[in-house]
Amino acid sequence: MGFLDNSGDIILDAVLTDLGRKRLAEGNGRFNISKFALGDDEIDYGLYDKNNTSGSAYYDINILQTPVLESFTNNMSSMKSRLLSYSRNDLLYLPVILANTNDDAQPFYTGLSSYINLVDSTTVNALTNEKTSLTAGIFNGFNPAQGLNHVQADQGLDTTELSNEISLVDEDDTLVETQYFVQIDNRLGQLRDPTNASVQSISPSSIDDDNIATYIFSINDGTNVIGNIPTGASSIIRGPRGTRIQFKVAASLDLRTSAFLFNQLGSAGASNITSGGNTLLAADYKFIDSTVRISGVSTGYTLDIPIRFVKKN
Amino acid sequence: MAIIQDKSLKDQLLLVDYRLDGPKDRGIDTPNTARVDGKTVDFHPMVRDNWGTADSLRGLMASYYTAYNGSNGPALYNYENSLLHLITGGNIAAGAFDEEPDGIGRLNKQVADPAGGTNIILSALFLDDDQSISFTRKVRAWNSYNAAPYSWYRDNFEEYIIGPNVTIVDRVTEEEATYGGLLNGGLNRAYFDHTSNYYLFSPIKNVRQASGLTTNVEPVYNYYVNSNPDYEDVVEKLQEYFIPNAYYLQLELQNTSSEFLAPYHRIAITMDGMIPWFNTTGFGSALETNSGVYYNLYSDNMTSIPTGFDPSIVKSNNGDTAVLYSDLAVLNEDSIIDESLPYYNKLTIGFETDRTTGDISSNASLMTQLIQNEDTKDFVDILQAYAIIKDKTTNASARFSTRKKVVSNSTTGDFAFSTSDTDYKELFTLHPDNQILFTAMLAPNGNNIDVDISGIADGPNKIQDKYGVRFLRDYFGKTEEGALELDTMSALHTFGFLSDNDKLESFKRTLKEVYENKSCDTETLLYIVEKYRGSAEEGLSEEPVQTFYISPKFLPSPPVDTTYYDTQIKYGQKYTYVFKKVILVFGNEYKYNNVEFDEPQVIYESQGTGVIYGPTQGFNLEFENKISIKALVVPYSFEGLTVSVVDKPPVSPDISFYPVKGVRNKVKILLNTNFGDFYDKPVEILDSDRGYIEEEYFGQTGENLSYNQIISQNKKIRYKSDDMIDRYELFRISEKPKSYKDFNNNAITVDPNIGTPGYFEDAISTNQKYYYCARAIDIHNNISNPTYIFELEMVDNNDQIYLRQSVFAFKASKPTYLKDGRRFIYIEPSFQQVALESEVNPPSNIDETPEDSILGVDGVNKVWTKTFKLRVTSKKTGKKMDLNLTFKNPGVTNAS
Repeated sequence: MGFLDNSGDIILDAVLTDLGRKRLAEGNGRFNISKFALGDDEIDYGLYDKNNTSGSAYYDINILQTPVLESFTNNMSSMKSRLLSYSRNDLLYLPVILANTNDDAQPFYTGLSSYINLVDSTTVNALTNEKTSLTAGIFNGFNPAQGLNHVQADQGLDTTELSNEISLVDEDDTLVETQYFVQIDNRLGQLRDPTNASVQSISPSSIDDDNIATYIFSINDGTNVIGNIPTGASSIIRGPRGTRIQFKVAASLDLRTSAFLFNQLGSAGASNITSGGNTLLAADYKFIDSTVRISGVSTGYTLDIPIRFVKKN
Repeated sequence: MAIIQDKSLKDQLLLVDYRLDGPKDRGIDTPNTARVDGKTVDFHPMVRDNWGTADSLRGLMASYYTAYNGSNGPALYNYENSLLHLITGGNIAAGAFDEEPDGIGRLNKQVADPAGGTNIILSALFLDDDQSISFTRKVRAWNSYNAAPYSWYRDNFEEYIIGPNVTIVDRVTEEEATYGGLLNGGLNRAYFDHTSNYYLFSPIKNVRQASGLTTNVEPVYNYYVNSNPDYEDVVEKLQEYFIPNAYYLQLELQNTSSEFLAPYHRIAITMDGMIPWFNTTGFGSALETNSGVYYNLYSDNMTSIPTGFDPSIVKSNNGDTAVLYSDLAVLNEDSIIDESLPYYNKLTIGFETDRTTGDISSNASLMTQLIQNEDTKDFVDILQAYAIIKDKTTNASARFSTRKKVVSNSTTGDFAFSTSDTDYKELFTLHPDNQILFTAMLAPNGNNIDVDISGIADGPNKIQDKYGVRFLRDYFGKTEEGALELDTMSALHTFGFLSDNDKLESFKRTLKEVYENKSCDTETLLYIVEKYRGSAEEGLSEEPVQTFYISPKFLPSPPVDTTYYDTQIKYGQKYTYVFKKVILVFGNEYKYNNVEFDEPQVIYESQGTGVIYGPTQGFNLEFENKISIKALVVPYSFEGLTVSVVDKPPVSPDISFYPVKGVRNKVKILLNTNFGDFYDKPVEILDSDRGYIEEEYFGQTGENLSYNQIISQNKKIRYKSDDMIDRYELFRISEKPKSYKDFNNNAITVDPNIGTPGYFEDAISTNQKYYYCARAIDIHNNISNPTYIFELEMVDNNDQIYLRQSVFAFKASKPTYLKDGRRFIYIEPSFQQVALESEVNPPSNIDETPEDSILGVDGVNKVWTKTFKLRVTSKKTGKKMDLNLTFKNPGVTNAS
């Protein structure tokens, strides 16, 4: 649903998502709106210019003149930046979620700004030669239990004004995310427990009509996906730290066994991939670029982590 | 905009100088040793050694208030009302009535001459110069005291008036008794009269509101300070002067200089250095550190007071607060960001149409005149500061006979009177003809001058340091006049302002008005709000924990309220705010100076239809009448306003249900905090909820209603997300609920160890409907209303598993629609249906009821007892309505 203010006449542009249309089509009275969320994806608050020489009335002029997006029907395409309410008036910083791509944590594959997920044994063997471990930023999507690399995102106050030795959990746990939604294209991959010893299969909560699987994690839910950031641990968060979400991504059965989706959705390799002295030549693989979306349940803060699924020809 | 306030719904306080009231009983039981003809005389104007009042002349003339027991309780009655009533031919059997017990009946009778008029033996003519009264002895009234002395005194009138001692010999007992003359000891004696009436706000909220006054104390809880240790716990153990005053903090946050606005701000904000909020670079110079949130820093550093720390330094700098007139802008609502305050009591002193009483109008009040004159406006601050100093230092008091009127019902206006002799603090007396006083108020300490007010502005050894009260000042010059600037010249200008013309004379009553007991002009100089811990019911702290002095807004327009945010309070602690006023009373100081007697003469007076005549004599009484201005501390309400800051119950949580793909017996339930601020009808689930709802409703409204009354009267409670959620209660049942009460005894507590979101995995069976609802409980154990009820069913359709969920709504009771339609549709059976059958078997006995359905001719298809459907179709809309009809034949009604 989009709210368009056309200088005078207020226009509310509403479309139904696929799920909404489905519910409405059922005609059984279940199409009741019991809750809603608001977002401002198109607004860049960095445009606020308090140095505008025309005066304070012009500080936010660029924000106010930003065109407003029309409504989307694809639920994955909208509401990345949700609005939220806080009853507190003493907050100077709001928590964020950032991919922990520090060099000593889980960096992206060098030069790609993305993780690489090797989807089958042939591709894995091409880069490990069955002897070496995968270099940082490359996941073993065929057998996640083998390999240490995984997705890791940290939550907290990303500011240098406050000490990172402060634990958000101890000092102000109202700003701590303890529940996360994780969404991934179910045709491409599934999530796995991050620990090596027991790479358990994790069931999604739902898979929608676009094959987007939604996983729900909560701290102390029996998985090892959510935990507190240990004191002194390497983190991308520069200030007080909250929780960490981490998981592995297993390639889907389709990707492991078939090149169909690579032919339909993917592209041919454009650059060589190297790991531990082994190289997968650009001409020898195809890839699909996708993202894993992590959303905090409390704050609605959303992070998209790029991931490239790679299959050797 | 005119403000309409209803005086009749305000409480009232009438003050009469102690011993200027007089005896009620002017015929019976008046304390007296007089004996006439061998009998004790109840009241005899000629034989008295006790006039029952300080001014014997007014006692004789009945020019005083007297205490009596009226229909609304003990009250004060102005006998002048009776005199005026009787002189104008009024009925004796009317007016105030002194009730049992010990009542003396109609008060008019006490001063009435049965033959008409009054029984006052002198008539008084007040001359226009307000310097003398011409008295004449009234023959008839004099003669009505038919006893021995009257004739003697008639012939010795001068002795009666001024004689020092007169010996009377009783005709029966021949005993001698000595009496003083009427004015014996009364000449050249100063009498002070400050009879005055005040309008007070009612402590009963709806009465107060109905009177048009907005004065109030409102507890506000904004948000929970999430600190470690807990801010509310830290504050709970400390004295109030150790709790931050938000005004000082916010003033310094606006201050862009490296210099403090006032040195004591540093002490008040940092608690004399315990809170590292400033980087101090030198004396009086500092910058905020910006190293954290103030209240968190406070909590970190105020868990204990270091050994040896002298709290008196903080007490004198962060305790009592004063806002003088020229600094009032600092209390403007936009001067403080109240949203940033965790919680506070908001004191509102409503605009008063009765800030002045008597004949004085707000436009012409002395304060209004002073502030409108550039040369004298600062004197208002001087007077206020002087009043504060005296309030801090003096125990002097003045005693008054008082009448209190307390209104108890805003609709009916019911009220009750009470009387008492009460001492009120007397701060000072202002002598406008005495320049020395004005300069004394400004002179340095010493030279027999008790206070030093010259340093009202900031600086060492000034009054703020000496008397432990700090001025909250308008440092940013929001008032047009600018900030406080005081100097000696201001007072001297004021002296000239007051002495060079008749400004003060306009506030003075004439002696005639004093005799008539007309109330003085008064005006409010300052409000005093004393804050006590506790309540009147549970007991108050012996001393106020803090005192606030706040100037009124003297200008009558615009009629705006004054607000003060008291942040120096503890969560959940009851505080009682006692409102007082410093009043300037423009009373009188009068003195009888000299008596000059006229020559005796014979006069004629009317008596009924005839006349009497007799010898009489008059005299001229010269007097001096001056204005006497007292500053008194009087109550602004007979009871304090008790409040306690508690947070509101939270809003219902957000609840969502998620299945797990491929898992048939498990559902994930996420609970989260919701945000909002609204009023809603409370909903009970557990048995214990009733008591909680009753307490919460009382806490929010002050109305003590039972749960059933709250529900039946559709009362609402305010729900607000003002603090953290501590835990959730999740309810589940498997039977379709008829009300929320069906969830009783099915609570599961979901307590998140970290953060506020709750998580619960519930084991369920397939193809079984479950009903869930949840509610949130905040860290102060306040309970939200429940969420909607959600109906969940994990459907297992031959291993096709999916979760069905929907919001459950209670079935609304089916409305019954009945409408009489005879006006529009009339249906009756046809004639054939109402004609009798050709053969009817009559009853054998007249008392027997005939057979049913004897109507209808032979062969016709009878309509009786059958149901028909009548369909009505709207020609306009096409809508159809069916009416079901049954033709009933009740048979024959026996006429007997």
